[in-house]
Amino acid sequence: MSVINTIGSSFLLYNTVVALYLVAGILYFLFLISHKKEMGQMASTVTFSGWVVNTAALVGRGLADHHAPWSNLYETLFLFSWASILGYMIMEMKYKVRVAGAFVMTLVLFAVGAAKLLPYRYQMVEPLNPALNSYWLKIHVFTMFMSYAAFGISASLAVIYLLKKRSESRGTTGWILKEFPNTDSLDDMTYKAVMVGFPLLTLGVIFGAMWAYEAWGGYWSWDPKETWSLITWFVYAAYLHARMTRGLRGAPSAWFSIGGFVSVVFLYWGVSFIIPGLHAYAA
Amino acid sequence: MPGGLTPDEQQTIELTGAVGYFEAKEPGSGKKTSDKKGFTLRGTRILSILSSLRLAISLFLILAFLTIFGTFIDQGREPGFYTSTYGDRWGGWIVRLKVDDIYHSWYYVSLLSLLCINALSCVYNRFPITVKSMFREKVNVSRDFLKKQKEYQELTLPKDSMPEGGAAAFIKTVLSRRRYRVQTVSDGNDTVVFGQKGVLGRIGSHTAHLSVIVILGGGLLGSLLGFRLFGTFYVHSTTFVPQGNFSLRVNKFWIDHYPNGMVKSYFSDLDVLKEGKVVRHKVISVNHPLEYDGLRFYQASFGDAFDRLKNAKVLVVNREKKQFLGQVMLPWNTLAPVPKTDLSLKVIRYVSDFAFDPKTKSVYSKSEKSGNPAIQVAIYQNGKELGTPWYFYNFPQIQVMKSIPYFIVFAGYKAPMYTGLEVAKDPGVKVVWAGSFLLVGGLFLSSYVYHRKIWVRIREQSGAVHLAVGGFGHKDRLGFEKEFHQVVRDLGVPRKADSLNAEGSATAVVAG
Repeated sequence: MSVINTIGSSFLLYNTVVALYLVAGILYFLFLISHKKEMGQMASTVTFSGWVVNTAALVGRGLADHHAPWSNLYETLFLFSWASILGYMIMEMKYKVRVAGAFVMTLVLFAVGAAKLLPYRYQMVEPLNPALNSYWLKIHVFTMFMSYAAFGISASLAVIYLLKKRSESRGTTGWILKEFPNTDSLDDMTYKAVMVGFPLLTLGVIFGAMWAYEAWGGYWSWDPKETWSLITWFVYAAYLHARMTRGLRGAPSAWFSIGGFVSVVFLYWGVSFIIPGLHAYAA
Repeated sequence: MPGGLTPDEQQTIELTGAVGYFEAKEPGSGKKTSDKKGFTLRGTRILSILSSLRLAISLFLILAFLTIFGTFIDQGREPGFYTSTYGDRWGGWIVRLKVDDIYHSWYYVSLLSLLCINALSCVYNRFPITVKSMFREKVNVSRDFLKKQKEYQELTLPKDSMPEGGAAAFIKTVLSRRRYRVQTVSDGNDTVVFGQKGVLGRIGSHTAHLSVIVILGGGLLGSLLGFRLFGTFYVHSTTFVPQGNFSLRVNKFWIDHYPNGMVKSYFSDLDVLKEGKVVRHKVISVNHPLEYDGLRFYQASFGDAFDRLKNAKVLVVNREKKQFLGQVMLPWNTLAPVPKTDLSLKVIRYVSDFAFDPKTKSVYSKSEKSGNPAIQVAIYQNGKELGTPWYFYNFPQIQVMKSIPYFIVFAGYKAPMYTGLEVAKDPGVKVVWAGSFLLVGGLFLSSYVYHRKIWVRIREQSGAVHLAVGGFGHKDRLGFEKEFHQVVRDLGVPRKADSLNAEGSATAVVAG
């Protein structure tokens, strides 16, 4: 048990995750450039191993902390990477879009890189403050991050869409972008990722409301984090309604998805650092 | 898409999947729907605007935009705060435009109501058509109708390639294998096979729309009939709670710490008393409230009392000789003699953050923090009260009473701890949870279950089977396109498909 505690509270596993994702990211880009199938397979394998270590890191932290391993900013960033890579791997299997890995991995590397850049005291295992000490922490935060990951994947696909569209309009298929699926598929996948994320976001916000009702005496307090989750919800609700008929397609739709993700990033980071409130556990 | 349809009708098809609903419609006969006798809202222009997607999208975006303001501008402060923070001009506008309490402003509430009307009229407008699309979709559709579908393909196969049972039975197995529910009708020489799946996905959006109204209704109920109050309670105190017609007694309060000193949780041991009898007992802590008779008591905070003390330490100095006479520990509200003098002192009031209201000429505590602790002391000389001056912990030089020959310095104090309890009642909360349940269910249905329809019109002519295959897939366009082409491929190679079927389902093998 003490071995698990030592590994769980150390950064060994986390550092391995960052290293493996970094290697996978490089391999995906090499695959893009070289168009060599083996390179792509290698990238996928490294990604999968990274994800396994990511899982182990989360489990290890959980055992060492005796609470859900997503109780501070550092830990949630690794939950985000875990969920994004899981979502991406499912997508890769189902739609055979290995090349999208380069972009999803870039996003994930931003996340884990940011985690590593946090001041040391934010990275450590810490006991929970009284309000966070609840089983809702497990459910609410996990659901929220599953939705963040889906929105992140959607935004990554939207970026690929825009790049591909631009190169197409210039009359070149693009030497690098050749590997990508056609713009129609990209457009559809962007939409699908949001369709996965939106019910999860809704569920996550409702779990949060249930938690608030247990902890604070009201399910809705217009606390900045709650409010920004509502803003994000409005944005994606608008997106889904606009997609419903054939109205919103192509580039405007892609920009909309990216805009939605900007709102997610603000909900996740902006609120914690810019606006104080009940959720101000980051500082 | 069928020709001659208004954009609204095309939208209705997309939203309800009632593809065959407008099939009989001739181009330019748009007035047909409003031919009904009597007053009917359905099909009117006002309803089509209220139920439109355009309105929904606009409302979502406007609400998102307005909601942002409330997260950057402090809500619910007094007007003076805004003018002092943002200057006279901007602060004035903030107050005038009600941005100081934007989520309760008339325009925000109106937009939310409009969103409800939008959702409700969408359901009213399209639910009957959805039901038709689910249970009474037109099976016998024409070849022209099929040609207008997003997916359409024609096939001609030799008749003798058909497995036993004929073309219709074969198509039926192909579609059932992909979990389509299949119906067949004969129409003279032709037979039409119609299959659909994922109809529950259609109910999803209607459920979600209605649930939004349920949730907001629950919220309204809570804001009209509910309340949230904060109170500070002391150990051994019994407080009457008029809202619940019972009393609350605090028996104990304590704090748990982690080994590193951080607060782990804090607890209050509570009794609910009715007519002197304990009807409920619970130890509450953060995240674990007490519920009694619709009222909930939450462990919200704890802290040092701001209106009472356990004891206060005062130093007494001779005014003239500047000679220190001694220090006394004064218990709260109890007369105590000061040694070496003829004085007796009694602490009668305490405020943790001294403030004076000139209107009512009364002293109060500005906050619960110890910003400016002060005590009011009743001074007695030989049993006669001389006065009740205030003394300040941070400002010992303030000596209001000049008539006595002593300086009295407020040098220390110990305040009892209070337990901060939030008392809340929300009769709407169950409604909100019910609505939330419906919302999540509706969203998962409409996001993960896709409604798909495929028609195959069969005409057998001179030894050949002509198939016209058309289909309509909701939302997952590419997924449906893929499946449609697989279905067409399966239809095009009956023998191979049949053998696939035999491999796939054991029954065929066993039967053979």
